[in-house]
Amino acid sequence: MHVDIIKIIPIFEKNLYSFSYNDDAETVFHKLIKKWTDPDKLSKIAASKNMSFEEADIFRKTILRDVKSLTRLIKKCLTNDKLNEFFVPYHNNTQKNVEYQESKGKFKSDVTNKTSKLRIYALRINNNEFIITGGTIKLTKATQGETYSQKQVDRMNSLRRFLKENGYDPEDIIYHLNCDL
Amino acid sequence: MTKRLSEIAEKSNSNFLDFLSEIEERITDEYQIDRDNIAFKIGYYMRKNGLTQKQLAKKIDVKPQQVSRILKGKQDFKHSTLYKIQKALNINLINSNIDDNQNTDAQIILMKHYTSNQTTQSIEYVSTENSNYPIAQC
Repeated sequence: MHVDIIKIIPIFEKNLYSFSYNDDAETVFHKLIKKWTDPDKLSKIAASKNMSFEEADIFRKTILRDVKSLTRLIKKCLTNDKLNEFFVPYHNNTQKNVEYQESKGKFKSDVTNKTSKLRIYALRINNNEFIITGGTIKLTKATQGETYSQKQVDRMNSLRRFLKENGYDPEDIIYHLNCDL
Repeated sequence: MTKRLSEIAEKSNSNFLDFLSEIEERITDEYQIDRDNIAFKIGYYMRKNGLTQKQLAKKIDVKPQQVSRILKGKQDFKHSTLYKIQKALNINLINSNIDDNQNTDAQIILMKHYTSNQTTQSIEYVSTENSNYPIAQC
């Protein structure tokens, strides 16, 4: 089995964490946001989904607009200690505050008030403390069948299983993870 | 928290807020937006034409690394490079014939929303002035 060394890194005080692989300087969250603003990555997604150029252009502008909403929202949640309002349980109709609960950050654009296609996945460490494990642009209603989105959810589940088995100690930020994340 | 973790966290706070600000700046800076628009169009049509970065680089006689920087919106475009890309991909990147006074009061944009089983369509009216055009769905 593939072994990855991951580092859980605080990205904002003791509320928000993400992780990086092996010697990566950037966390998966930083990479995700950069990806969503990278014209190359977005054109790759648009072309792979067989969008016409007009559709692709709207798709990209919508993503950029939503990234802007997201950055504002995250700043607001961090400064007001309201991360627990941004992240909701990944599985609908489940109770909040389950240990290492799979969570998703879902939000509405502050321009159109429509639900964004951007999703952030995270594990809830406690009420207002989260580890961001990844995210996706959700283009279909169901995650199943969308390989990339499914991989992101699988990664969240793998980290959850690992933390449940090994425990989570914020002072020990380096883990050796025996699974393909 | 231990002293070490506190130090990391303190450094992370400012780094993280700086990072978010940099991202916001990138997507609101007009110059960068324009460069990204061109980069996106090139990337889209490169793939639609079934070309790789390496193949496009060969066609326009530049190094693949330069194509990579162009596609990421990290490089200023030389007119000659844009012209070659335009020819290679059969697209228009240099709009020298646009009438500056043309009426662009509103553009009607057709947008498809992808759902699992069905495709719904909506029409979004995007104003280029300060008018309040409605967002209509059909």
